[in-house]
Amino acid sequence: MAKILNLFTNKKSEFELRLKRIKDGDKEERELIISEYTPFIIKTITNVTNRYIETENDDEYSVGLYAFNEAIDKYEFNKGNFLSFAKLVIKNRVIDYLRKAASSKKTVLFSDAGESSEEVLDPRDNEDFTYNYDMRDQILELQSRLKQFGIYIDELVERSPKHVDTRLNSIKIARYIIQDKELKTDFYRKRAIPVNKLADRKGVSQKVLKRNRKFIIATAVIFDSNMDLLKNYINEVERRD
Amino acid sequence: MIYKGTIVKEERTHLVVFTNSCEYIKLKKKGKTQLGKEILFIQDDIITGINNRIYSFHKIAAVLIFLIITTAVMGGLNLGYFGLNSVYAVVSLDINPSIEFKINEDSIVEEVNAKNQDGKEIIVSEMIGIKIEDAICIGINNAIDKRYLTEDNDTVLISEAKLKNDSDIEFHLEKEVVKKMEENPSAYDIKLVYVNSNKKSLKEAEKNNISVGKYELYKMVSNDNENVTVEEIKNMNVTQILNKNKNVIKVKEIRKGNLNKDNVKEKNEKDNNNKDIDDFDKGNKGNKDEDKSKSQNGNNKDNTAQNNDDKTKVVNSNKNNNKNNNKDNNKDNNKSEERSNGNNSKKGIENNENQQDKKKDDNIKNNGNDNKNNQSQKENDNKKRNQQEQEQEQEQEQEQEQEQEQEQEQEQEQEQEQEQEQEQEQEQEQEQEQGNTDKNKENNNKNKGNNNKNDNNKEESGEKGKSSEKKGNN
Repeated sequence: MAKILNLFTNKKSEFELRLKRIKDGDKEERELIISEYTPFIIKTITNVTNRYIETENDDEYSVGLYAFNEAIDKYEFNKGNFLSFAKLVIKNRVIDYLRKAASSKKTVLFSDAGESSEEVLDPRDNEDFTYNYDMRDQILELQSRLKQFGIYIDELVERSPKHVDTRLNSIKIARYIIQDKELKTDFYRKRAIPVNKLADRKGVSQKVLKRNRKFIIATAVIFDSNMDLLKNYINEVERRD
Repeated sequence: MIYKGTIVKEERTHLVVFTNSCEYIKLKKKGKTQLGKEILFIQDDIITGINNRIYSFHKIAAVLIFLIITTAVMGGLNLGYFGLNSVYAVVSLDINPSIEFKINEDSIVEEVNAKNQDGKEIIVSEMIGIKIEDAICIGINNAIDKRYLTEDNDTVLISEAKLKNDSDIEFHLEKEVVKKMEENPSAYDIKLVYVNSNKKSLKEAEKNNISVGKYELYKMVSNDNENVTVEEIKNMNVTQILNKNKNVIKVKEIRKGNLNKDNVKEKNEKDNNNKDIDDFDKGNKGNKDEDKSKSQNGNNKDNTAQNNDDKTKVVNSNKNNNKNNNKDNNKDNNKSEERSNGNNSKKGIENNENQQDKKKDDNIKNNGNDNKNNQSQKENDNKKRNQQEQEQEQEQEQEQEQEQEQEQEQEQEQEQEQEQEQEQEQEQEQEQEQGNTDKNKENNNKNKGNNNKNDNNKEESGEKGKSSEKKGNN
């Protein structure tokens, strides 16, 4: 029993120790804690806004981060749990931000800490809508193209290789298909992976092709599109390794 | 950790994103989402099949446990219910149709069966779970609707057989039924025959596949006429049985149709006067019931009631006016008589308080009766009171029972004025039939003896009584 209590107190005291160090001026620790708790911050923000945060450039995201920072500074050890306090600060700041942003737009709806079920109109909605429609169109096109190959995106969720390495391999294969003219024409004509030729030319086993067939096709289609964002993802993954 | 991804598909229940690690992942839907938008999300937002499964498992487990518990509780309750309140008595209702109710200690109908084909016609499911007197009323109403009760065939037989001897609570079925019937605005003048029965008769009745009420009738009739068989009784309807054996069976008539001026008037008067008493009696019903429960045979009570009627005849010529007073007289007489009989009803020691209270009630009652009747009756009343006070201690035990009888009789008699004589005659005879011949004879004899005594006492006490009466009233 005593041990368990010790565990609890240890955790708490450990955290408190860190906070103390930050308050004393330890900047590294501050960065560390912030990055550790970013998911927590995001969760709190989305609870208030009821939306997904879009990219790190989002205002609300920075507001949240700033609020967390503020909480660290303002926290006093005897005033209870730090995380609850931080949550409170973040919520308040985000709500304030939303009010401000909304007041400068025509229509105003915002959900107050999840109490009302009203949707929060994104203040940024009105700005980039052309861009958004572009993206949307592109994705729709992707969907339809995949459909031609007999692939639905939901399937991809289940059929995608779980392991990074497999994915990388599949990506490589997809690239081959698109970059090689002959393979590419075969690919589009047959609506399928040119298995034999691939096996001959690149030494890819049939087994691999079979198992990851859908993923490969999807990736290939993405390569052959103008969806930079997605292409960037792919490149990013490759770059990482 | 934080994930980044682009929304590539939007479904009703989820989103699909293509992540920056080239995975296709399902996410929870949040707010307004647009295809092609890049979003940040965390582990919590991901919808995984595994979580769902565990969740449902818990749900299912919870539901199962809940079901098990509720069924156990229900089972337990049922068991307990049956254990505590198993069938307490069997009540039969016969006209032509013959049905039997099984009731519990709270007089709630637990089961009802038809004893003959016609019986099935008047049984309805609503009978179960309600008080017996209500169920009987439903049965009678159904019988009227289905023309089992007509002007020619208008007698209903009700019988009650208690299965448990240890009854703390005992309600007077007959009285309750009559009460309910009076409230029922039916057109017919229905005659009611009530017989008390017991476990033994019930068994015999079941052997013969006949209702317990009819079996009791059979007993009565066969005492008089040895040639009658069970089958005959079974096949005859109650009216027929009674018509054939008028001398044997006592009938109490419920004059529903005659809930008109006379009866209403009297009833109102009586009610106003006896309101307090009624309320008080209700409160003390438990005690009275204790008394009755200790009686071996409800017939004894009936006997005393009948004896009262006898005395009515004997003592006073002016029956109608003196009805109630006579009852008082007779009851006073009965008190001594019963006492001398060594208590047919095995009464225990009563609370003194109750006894005193009831004495007061008796006095109030008597006063009330005065208002109704001629002043010449007052002397009788006074003398009655004298008697009461003289035999005060000894009478205490018996007052309770008789009060209730008095009430009951008062209720019934309002409607039975004209037939009182007949009833009395029948009662006498019925007493003999009910197998308490010896005791009844004793009762009769002693009634007569006591009547003499009373007459003497009345003459003697005179004013003395009045003064002591005043004391008593105070």
